[in-house]
Amino acid sequence: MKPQLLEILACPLCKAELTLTIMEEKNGEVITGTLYCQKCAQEYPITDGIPNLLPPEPRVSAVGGATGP
Amino acid sequence: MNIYDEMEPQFYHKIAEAVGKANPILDIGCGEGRLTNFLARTLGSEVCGVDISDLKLTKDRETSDARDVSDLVWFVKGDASQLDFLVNDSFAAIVSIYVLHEFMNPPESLRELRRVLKASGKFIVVDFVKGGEAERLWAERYYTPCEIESMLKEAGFTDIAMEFVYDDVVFVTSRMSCTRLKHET
Repeated sequence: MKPQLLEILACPLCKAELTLTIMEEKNGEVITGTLYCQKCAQEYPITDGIPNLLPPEPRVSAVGGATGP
Repeated sequence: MNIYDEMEPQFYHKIAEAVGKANPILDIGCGEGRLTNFLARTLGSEVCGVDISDLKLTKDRETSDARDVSDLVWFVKGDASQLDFLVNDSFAAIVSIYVLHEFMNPPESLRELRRVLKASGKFIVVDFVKGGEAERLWAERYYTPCEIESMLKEAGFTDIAMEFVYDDVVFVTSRMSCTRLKHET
């Protein structure tokens, strides 16, 4: 993920700002790292350049995309 | 490949046309990110794809098409029906293809989409409608065009225009009204 993406991301639990920790970076993109919410003491992983902003226990109604075609 | 897969490129072009210069764009339920990458490549805009499945997102990033536009495309693993992880007024356009019918609580999800959309931002929906071939193929619950229009209106979208782009597929364009609803502030 690009570090600039942090500007539009928030903690899915409390909507507070997140703090980025970079573990691996390539061409200005964070490949591995974490996004941390101080308020909830909750960490969200960044794996293969993609931040995972699902709450710790994903809701049953979670929707990703079409199951059709 | 079914008829809907075959028609997808046609729908993508129509979506790009409707999005125009709006930037950045949110693609909800982006799946493998085909539309996400298409919009970035065609419009040169920044596009954020959100999907709950990491397998689909990983697969997408490995394609050559994805590498071409990697500077413009971001992916986030998240729930497209609950956008709590995105801040208010982040996008100038939101696109969704075959996603609306999947929302468990459409009014709530549509309110969330409004929240992350900038004032006068565009919301473009492509989805199946009730009573067509798709319903027989996938046995999912779809809405009538009237139901879709009502849901959008109730959620505060305006300038709603709808047309059939296939027997049971509607293409809907709408805008977020300039004024936020009381509970959104």
